[in-house]
Amino acid sequence: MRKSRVNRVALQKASGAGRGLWSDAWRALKRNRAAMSAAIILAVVAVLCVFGPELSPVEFDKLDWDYVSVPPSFEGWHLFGTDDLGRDLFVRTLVGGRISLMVGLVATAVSLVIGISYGAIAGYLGGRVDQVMMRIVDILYAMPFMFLVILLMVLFGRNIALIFVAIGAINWLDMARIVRGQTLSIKRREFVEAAQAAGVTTPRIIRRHIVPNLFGVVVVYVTLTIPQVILVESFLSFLGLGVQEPMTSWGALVNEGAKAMENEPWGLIFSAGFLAATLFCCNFIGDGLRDALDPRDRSA
Amino acid sequence: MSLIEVRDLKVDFATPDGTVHAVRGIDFGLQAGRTLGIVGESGSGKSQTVLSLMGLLADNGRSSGSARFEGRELIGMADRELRGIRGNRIAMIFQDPMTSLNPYLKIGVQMSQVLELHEGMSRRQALRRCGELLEAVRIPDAGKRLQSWPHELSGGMRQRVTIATALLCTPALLIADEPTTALDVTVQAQILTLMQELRRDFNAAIIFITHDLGIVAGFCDDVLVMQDGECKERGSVDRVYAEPKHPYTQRLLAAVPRLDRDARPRGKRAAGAGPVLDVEGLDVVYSLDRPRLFAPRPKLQAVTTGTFTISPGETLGVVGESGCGKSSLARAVIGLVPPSAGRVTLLGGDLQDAGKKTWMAARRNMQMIFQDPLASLNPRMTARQIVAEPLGACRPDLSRAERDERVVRILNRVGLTDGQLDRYPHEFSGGQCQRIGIARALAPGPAVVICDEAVSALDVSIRAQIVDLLMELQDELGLALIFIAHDLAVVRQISHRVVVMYLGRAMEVAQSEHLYARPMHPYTRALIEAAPIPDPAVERSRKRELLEGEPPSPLNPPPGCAFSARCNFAIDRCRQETPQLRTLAQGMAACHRAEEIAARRA
Amino acid sequence: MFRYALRRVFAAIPTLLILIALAFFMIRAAPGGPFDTEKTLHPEIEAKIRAAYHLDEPLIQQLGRYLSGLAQGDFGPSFQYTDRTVTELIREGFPVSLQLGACAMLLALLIGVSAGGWAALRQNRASDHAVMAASMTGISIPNFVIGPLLILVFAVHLDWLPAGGWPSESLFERLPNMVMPVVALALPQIAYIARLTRGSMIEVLRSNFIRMARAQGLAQSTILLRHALKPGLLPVLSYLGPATAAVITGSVVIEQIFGVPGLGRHFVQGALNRDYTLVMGVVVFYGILIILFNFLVDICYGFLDPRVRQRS
Repeated sequence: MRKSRVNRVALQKASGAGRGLWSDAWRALKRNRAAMSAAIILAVVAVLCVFGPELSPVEFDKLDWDYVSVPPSFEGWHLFGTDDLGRDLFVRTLVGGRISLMVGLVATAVSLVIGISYGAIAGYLGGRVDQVMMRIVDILYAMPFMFLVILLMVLFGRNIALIFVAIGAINWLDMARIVRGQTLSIKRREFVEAAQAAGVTTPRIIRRHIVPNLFGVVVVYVTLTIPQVILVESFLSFLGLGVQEPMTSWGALVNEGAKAMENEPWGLIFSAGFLAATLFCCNFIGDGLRDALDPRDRSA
Repeated sequence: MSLIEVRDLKVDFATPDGTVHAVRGIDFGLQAGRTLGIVGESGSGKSQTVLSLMGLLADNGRSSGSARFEGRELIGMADRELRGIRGNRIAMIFQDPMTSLNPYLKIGVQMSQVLELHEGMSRRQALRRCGELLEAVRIPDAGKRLQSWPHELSGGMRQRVTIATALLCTPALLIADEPTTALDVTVQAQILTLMQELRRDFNAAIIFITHDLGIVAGFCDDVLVMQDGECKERGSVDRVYAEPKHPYTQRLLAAVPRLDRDARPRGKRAAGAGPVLDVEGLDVVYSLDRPRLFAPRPKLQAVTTGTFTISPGETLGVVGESGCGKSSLARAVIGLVPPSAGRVTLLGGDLQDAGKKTWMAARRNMQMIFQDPLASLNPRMTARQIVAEPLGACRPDLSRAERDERVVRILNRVGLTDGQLDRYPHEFSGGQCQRIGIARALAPGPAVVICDEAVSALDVSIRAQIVDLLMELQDELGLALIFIAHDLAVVRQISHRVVVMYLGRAMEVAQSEHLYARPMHPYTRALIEAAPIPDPAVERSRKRELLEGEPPSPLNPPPGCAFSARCNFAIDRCRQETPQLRTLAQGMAACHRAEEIAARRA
Repeated sequence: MFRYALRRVFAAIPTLLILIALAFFMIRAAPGGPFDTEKTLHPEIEAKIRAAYHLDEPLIQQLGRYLSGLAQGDFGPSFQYTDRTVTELIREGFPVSLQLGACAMLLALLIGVSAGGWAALRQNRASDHAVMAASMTGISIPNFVIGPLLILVFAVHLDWLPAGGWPSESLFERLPNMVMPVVALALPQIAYIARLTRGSMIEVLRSNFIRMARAQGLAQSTILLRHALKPGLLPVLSYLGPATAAVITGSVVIEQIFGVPGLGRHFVQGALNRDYTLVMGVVVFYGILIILFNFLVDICYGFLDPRVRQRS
């Protein structure tokens, strides 16, 4: 044991001299070609969704009865074709992307805030408090996820902003568990003991010593939660509980497209493509980050 | 004719940051029945050297050069052919016995698979032979142990199992990679003695890798000193230890503290001053998880009646094997774990019923240095922030500017330059990290500093520097140091007085020079005898009375004297009546036969 | 072991009670009621109906009534499906979902573990990347896209399989109808299990006892099967508990697309229609299954890990 610690020190010294932990991880990530391409694709998708609709000459909700269900073509600039109401699917896909990405980000942020505080407190305080807090998580785990989502939808009456918050408010359970586990292991590290011995107060220890060191897992988890949330939103759209017409989201578009996929496959292909590509990229980035932040892979 | 002949062996690792040359051309030869010690500090490439012989390098590693073993070239040999040699002609023992055995398989299965593979034995034949070997490595109830799971055995027992497994096919070459590093010193002595006997019986050549120059002196015929992947010196143990040629070897040998040499702690005890810290009757009891619902929580008595005082400028050494309660004692004194009984008086103030305010004041006066240099520093804080934190917590009387100034001054004092102050811990070496740890402890201006294994994780040469620094600072600041360690030689080097602990109790408390020259407690004696001395001549002439077994579990201490189960001097009285710490001519000892034992050495 | 099991059962009771109470108050807190229809009922009639279902009592009393019914195995009558009890609805739906879910989980386990283990062995090589990319696709495509796609290819174009439906005569006749729903259910599970297996296998293959086994000259296949498989599968086992409970209680998407009369739709429809008893019934049922499967996982852990076995 004693010896292996020394080896770790030596290894870290050999490989990490002169660089910060994050710049180290960043270098490792840059070498991961899959993760880097994923990041670039994701960035392109995000930029398209944010600015694309503004630049497009067509409104996303404009009905055009001359172009009902036309396949993709440069004529009239319907790059992705139109739907059965003659609406341009290119703009709709981008606008839908805004909603889907926003759902992902907002809900993840909510679950992040709740999950980190809950998990870090439970893990750090330990003992009875931890037992009770984790028992609560267990109970919530035993509730069907969909039941909770639908209940909240009913409660908040389809307000899109509240839906994000609601999804996030349910999705924090995993985060809390992961953070708690990580906190338990950080708590046993000597630097926390050193802070305690120096008389540093508990809230400050949590803030300065525990939470910053949780960052690695949290970052990874965020990239994996965003796609999860986007999927939940698309599932709600499938049930007809998602965003309301004429507003749209990838889930809603995919759902409409799936219904007419035999005759108008373009309705499905582009929206599903965007959705899958985004989820794919998030997952790849998450995996890449996990590898990059894993110190063992950095050894000589 | 050598059994193995290694020429120009190189090991490279392809890393994202470029190629790392772990081993840069090593030559050695080894004859049957001889033992070669490879010593070096961490990162010297000693482990990679032998792993490359076995074809066990990590995926990104490449070896080149030549290693002829029994007439066959090992480097570049096909894995298939190599597998026939591994575990059969060359066997290997690893450092950590706790993780080297598969926790999901019984001992018998793990051992017999080797014989089934290499000797084509049936399971039943194989198990019989395994039982024999477990007896050969002196495992009691060998037959039964084949049915045991690894977690049911202690560390020492597990290492015996891996040794037995390695010897199953009577290999011509045995490679031992730090086989005793994870073990306590008394258990280490048992394992080394066992290996010496087995070497005679099995006539195998041994390559013994270690960082401990003392072990090499006692165990090996030849020695190879490695640094940064290169061989710095090679020769017979006697020659290298007596007249080291290479400056690195000379430095290394000079840096090792020796138990058999006089050492003068530098700190000056303030004459006539009262004790700065007074600890009396301290008990530390941990409540473990309930084994069953509603069952009482099992109690683990980590420390029983810990009692000591310490004066300004004095160093009190605390030694003992792992689990003896030395760290718990320190943590209770500083308030990291609540003591269940006893009293701690710091600078005349009682801390036991103290409110928060008194504790804050106490923390200013009592600080701690931890074992693991890197782990004890928050990786997300700079050196400056780390040292400033305790100042902010327990010196609200200082202004911000005063604090900043103090942080810089103390960091400079421990040897960091101004340019390094805003770096993060992983950018420093182990020794530098420990310097930051020392600066953090000293920043609030404490009167007492507790060093919990503060140099155990460091390499020999770095360790010497840190010990020097601690002694200098003690001298300058008149600190009282509590120096906790498992290494007797280091403790001797720095301490005025020493407490020897076993199973939560103080066994002996004495002046350092008396304790080492004339131990009063049989356990102290055993510890001193078990510690290797880096001098082949001395090692050969030493007589050892080995301790049997390993420290019992503190959950289930033996009746009477805690040490009685392993003691070579135990009489019936010891097993019935717990001896109290008594004041004797030259200190205190908790032994019924202390006078007799002290007289033996005289 | 038996005492341990008994202890666990007792420990589960308060969990279940809190779960029931929580779900009960949550569904009641939702606006609207089970009898909100297009045309408003005459207040007197509605009051009568409400009285008949005891909806006029204070909530606490209703909860007590519900719990005492539950203790006798009675989930109460459904509001939406008049003349049917919730017990009957679960009894009808669950076998369907169970058949699909069990097949899907078995398939997922088989493919997921082998793919994940294989990828772990060839870490960072092309085959590893291929397996991982494939599993990522499995996670990234919603199953309401996969479902219609399967139908389009295998039912419409190739005409190999029926597009949906659930012939109730015999299992044999049902088999062709089960293929596509099972595949659609299994795909995301395969992906998760493969990723999980790969991760934990890589972890195990790095451990000291594996290096020890290699130093003994054991072949890679022996090391994998005898030394690495068991510890490598323990995290998969923990995942399997709750995942199985979720999959065998049905998926509303799959049921809707393939026209399968399973349990999943009740979770959604029950909540939307404020069919209080029905939604409570499936929620309680689900909760019991989760607790049960977590318990089974712990028991399995005990059998697989000698250290855990001795502790319990």
